[in-house]
Amino acid sequence: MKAPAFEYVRAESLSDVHEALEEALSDDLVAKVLAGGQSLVPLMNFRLARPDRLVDINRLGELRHHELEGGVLRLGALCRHADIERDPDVMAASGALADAVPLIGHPSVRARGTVVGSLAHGDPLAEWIALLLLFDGAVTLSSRRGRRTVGAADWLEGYLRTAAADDELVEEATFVLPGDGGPGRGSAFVEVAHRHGDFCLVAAAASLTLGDGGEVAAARLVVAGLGPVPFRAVGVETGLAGLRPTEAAFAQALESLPDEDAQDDLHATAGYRRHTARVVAARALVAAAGRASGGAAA
Amino acid sequence: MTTGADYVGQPLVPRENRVFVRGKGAYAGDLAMSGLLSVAFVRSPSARARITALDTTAARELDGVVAVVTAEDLEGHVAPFRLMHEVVPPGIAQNPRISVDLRACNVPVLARGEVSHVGQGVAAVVAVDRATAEDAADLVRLELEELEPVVTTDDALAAGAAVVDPANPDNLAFRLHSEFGDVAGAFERAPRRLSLRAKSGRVTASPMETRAVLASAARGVEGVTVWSSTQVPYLVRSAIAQHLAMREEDVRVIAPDVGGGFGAKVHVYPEEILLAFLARSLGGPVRWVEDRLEHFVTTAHGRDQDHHLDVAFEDDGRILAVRDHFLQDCGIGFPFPMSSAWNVVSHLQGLLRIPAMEVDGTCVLTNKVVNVPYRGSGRPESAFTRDRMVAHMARELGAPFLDVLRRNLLSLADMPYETGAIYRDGVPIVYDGCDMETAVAKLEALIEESPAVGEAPPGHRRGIGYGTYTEGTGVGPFEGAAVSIDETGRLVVTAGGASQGQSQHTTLAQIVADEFGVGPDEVLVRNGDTSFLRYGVGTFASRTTILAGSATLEAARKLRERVLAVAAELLEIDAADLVVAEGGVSARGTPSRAVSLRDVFMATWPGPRRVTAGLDSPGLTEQSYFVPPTVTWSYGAVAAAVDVDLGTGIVAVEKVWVVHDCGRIINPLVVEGQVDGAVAQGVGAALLEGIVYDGSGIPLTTSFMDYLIPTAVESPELAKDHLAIWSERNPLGVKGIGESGIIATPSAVANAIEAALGDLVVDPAQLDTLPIRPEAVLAAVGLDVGRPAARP
Amino acid sequence: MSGPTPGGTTGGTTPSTSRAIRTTVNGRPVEASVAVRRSLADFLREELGLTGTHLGCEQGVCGACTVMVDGEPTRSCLMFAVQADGAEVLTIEGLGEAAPPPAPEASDALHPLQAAFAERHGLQCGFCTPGMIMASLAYLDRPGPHSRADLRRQLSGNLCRCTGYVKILEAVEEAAARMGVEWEP
Repeated sequence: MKAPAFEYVRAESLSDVHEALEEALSDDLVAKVLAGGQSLVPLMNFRLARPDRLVDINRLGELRHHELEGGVLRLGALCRHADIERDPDVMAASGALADAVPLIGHPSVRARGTVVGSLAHGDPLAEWIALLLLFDGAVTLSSRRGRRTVGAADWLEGYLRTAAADDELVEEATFVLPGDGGPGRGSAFVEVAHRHGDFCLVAAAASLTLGDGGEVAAARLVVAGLGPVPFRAVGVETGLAGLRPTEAAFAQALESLPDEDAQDDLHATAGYRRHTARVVAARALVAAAGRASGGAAA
Repeated sequence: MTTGADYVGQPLVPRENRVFVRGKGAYAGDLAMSGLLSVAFVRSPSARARITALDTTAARELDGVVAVVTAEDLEGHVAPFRLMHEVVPPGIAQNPRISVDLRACNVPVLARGEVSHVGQGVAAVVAVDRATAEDAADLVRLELEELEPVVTTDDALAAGAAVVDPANPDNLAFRLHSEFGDVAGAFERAPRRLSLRAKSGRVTASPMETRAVLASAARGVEGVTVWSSTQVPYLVRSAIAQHLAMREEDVRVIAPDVGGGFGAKVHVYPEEILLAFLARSLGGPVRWVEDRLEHFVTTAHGRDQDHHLDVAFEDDGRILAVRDHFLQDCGIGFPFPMSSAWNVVSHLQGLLRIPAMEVDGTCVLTNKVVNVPYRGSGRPESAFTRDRMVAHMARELGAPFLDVLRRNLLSLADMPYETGAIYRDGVPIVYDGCDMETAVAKLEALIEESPAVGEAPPGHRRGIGYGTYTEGTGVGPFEGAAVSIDETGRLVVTAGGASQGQSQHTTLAQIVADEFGVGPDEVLVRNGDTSFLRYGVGTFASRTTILAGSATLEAARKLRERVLAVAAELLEIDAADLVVAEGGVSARGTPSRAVSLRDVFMATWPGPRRVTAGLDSPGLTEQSYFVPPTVTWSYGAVAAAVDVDLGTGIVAVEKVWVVHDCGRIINPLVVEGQVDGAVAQGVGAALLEGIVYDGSGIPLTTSFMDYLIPTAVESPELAKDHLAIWSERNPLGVKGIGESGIIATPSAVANAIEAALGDLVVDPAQLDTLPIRPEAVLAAVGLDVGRPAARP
Repeated sequence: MSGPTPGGTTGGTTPSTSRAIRTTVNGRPVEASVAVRRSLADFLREELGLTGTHLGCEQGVCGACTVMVDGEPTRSCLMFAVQADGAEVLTIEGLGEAAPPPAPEASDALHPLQAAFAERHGLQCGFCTPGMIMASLAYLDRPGPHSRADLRRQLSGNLCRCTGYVKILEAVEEAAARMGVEWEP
């Protein structure tokens, strides 16, 4: 499986990238940005992806950054998964992040693969896609035409399809972290997979804010693997408002979890996805509640 | 008579290891040669179709392409590819209570007119490098008229079914029927009867190295040399010679370092025939390295047996009779039916006392990849069926599994025990020295001494389950070895068999080292090359240590006698007063009166001054071919501890305990490694692995993302113990171990899940089909979430 | 706007199908002109003859191709050789000292991981071994805590079919001890 022929552009600046992408578009060629390559190159080796041009952005040192300020995690296109994993402050800022990042592939995937690359690739089962939804995230795109920001709800349009246009570089992503461990806040990420490091079968990301009396003041729940794209279980979220965060309350609220159109596939049946989505969602809520109460997560 | 040296039995670090850890292994894909061209294939995207157009023009015109070859180009040069490796021995053919129908395996080298499985080669591109060859393959225009494929065994056996192989229009690859005892009578009289359906799904061996073939020839020179990532260099040689109308001696097949085989490389593949042909046509070296995608759709699969078993038994659990009917899905060819299928006949019973047994097997052809003996080869499928039978019996009787097992176990006092079935070599099965009672007792002791740690957390259940296995090992027809001393005085072993990680270069050296009183590092061992020995077979079926090892021992002993005779003449001392040690021969008690092995070698050089010592030929080489009387029986007991997450159905195998008897152990480190690896493969088969085809015969598991083999996280901790009843069927006293760990592991895992779920189980039959996916675990406790794709 | 572009100069946006690269492999400077589609794995194996790095899947799943690039474990089948321009690459051949023949197998020439893998029989066919050793090296290089359970997770991206991982784990633990890396029970 050798990659098909392509032309290679090594960008040294952002404008190089924009120019290259725009040129390809106007030449009616397919151009893809090459950052970590952990998602794109396997597809090329399988000859399932045959871009005419690859625009390598790895020289753009200014894109390799991440900062956590005022509860907002902002990271550039070359921020590797490992950069987050190795930052104790960021990992401590969110239980869901701490749970999810070590589950992304394997160490060598995390060393080279990028957060933004995962968002740009658009696999509905990718941890970062679910976290974008959980954390009110946004993606910043840039091109010759300018910059724009797309919110989490509008980012993933389908399997490997995002809101990015062909001439746009996904330049940055932001996540509003809930400051777990801070007063009454906790989040968690739970997934089911056949093996460690595999893409999940189903996953749930939950974030809870508890009021002074210990009741649920705000809840967010994202479910992945149940239906074509991950979604916010809004009905469950509103159903939890004001309740004490008990397993029974969670189970009750989860009854309104939509079944979406889960499909049978090679890895799991639709019935299995429906069943375990509720299981992992409950576990994520329990863990988030535990962290919000200051106790150890389940 | 030995030297007093004692390397056999020592856990010597395999010498191969020091080469591999430095990255200095030379696998077929690593070999370098100037002018080496690369091959890529155009492969069928359809399970069954008529080829209506095949246009290679654009491909041939691509820069860097040397040739594009189709079936038409082979016409008249390559005979139709037909394999018939096995014969039905008289002991089986002439038995009135047995019937066998064995067919040849016909597989095209390149598809002609029709394609019969996804992945079948249609055209081969030869180019300056692999990337260019793949680019050219993309340019080949292949048009197909889809035909109705034969996808399942039902499809194959249906009236009016499409024909997979015109030479076998009934879609049968093999049939067997074997009986002993009064099965019908036993069922009639039995107070209890039970039925189960046990399925072992289709799997693939998945060695980490895919296949690769490098063939080299030169214009004007007769002969071809083929390096192939194979377990059976001699079978490949014979097939190439036969199909290219060459003499076997003009075909040299070499197995270089091979990165695992496990049975998948025990087949002779179309690519081996084709590459030899290409090398000869082009007059130069050509290489094909299989990529992993190709591997899933062309390298042979294994298992895929569906058993319907009935057992008749007493109220106290004693078995009266067993009747097993099984179906096997063979893909387009079944080259080793006497192994894959007949092993059910010889292993279903295990070490249980079963007075009457009937086994009936129907092995059918379908439009899928060929099915060959994957590690265990019929033994895991039958052990699983048997162990689940015992589990179901135990459930019905309300008794523990081990109690029911013990009620039926043969004991050491029963040995030697003639079972009533015949082994595939035609010899009636007589268990030699098997003590399963002690093995089980040791297993229980091992579990107690080395328990699995940890209580089940909330929402989880944990349990331990058991399985037992027997393994007929060291099957013939033979394997050979030559031991010689070269011009430097060095001991050299050239053996049949081939290595894919079994450390044979070390174990065979240990055997010779003991005979000659030298350190094993001083013994050079070579194998896997048909030019070393005229006759050979290969490495599979847990046979190499037994057969090549015994041949090595016998050749070493003959050589020793020869050396002593020559030394006696040189030193003018009686051979009985000489000692062979440390690279020479010396007088007992007077070490200064000595000759080196090099001196001895030089003395046997032809010519007038040759020392003859009554020998009829010059030189210092002795050959031996060991023909075993029949197989010798390894056996053992396995337990597994699992954790079941009741919410998700995910099963983790925490620990596996194995007690094995493989007779005398040449190198304990090597034996442990074999057991460890086989157990992990068993875990894979139990929970994770399944080759899946859709309703049109399109394979869905074509990468390591879809076909799941255990990683370091899913692989259990192991505890091992052994007993050693030496075999009397070979001069070494050894029994095989290569497949032992895989046979009973799936049983132990399934039984452990049942034990873990305990009173929650409402449908134990969910655990009778491998792989046991999470959906099945949930279904076992009454939660129906649909049937997953990976389960047959 | 295609055609070869000299490497090492400012990139601009001129696409190319081959480039000159300068890289360091096992401590030695290497200059080469490579086709842009050439993977780092194939470059190491074919152009440089360093065949210790193996290809098991070319899909980034099996880990047999693992090398270190700028100190990070990297699946060399997922990286193009052109991306190694200016980088430091370490392969299995770069571990230990280059001992002269005729005793290339002497233990003291081996890196502790290589020695431990060999002596503990943490390999059989050897195909996954270079990648497994590189992944283990990356693990031991990182700050702790180190434990067997954690090691299983860290090696889960390197598939082995021969050993069941049992002796691989023992070998890494032993190497850690030799290297003075603290290990948690």
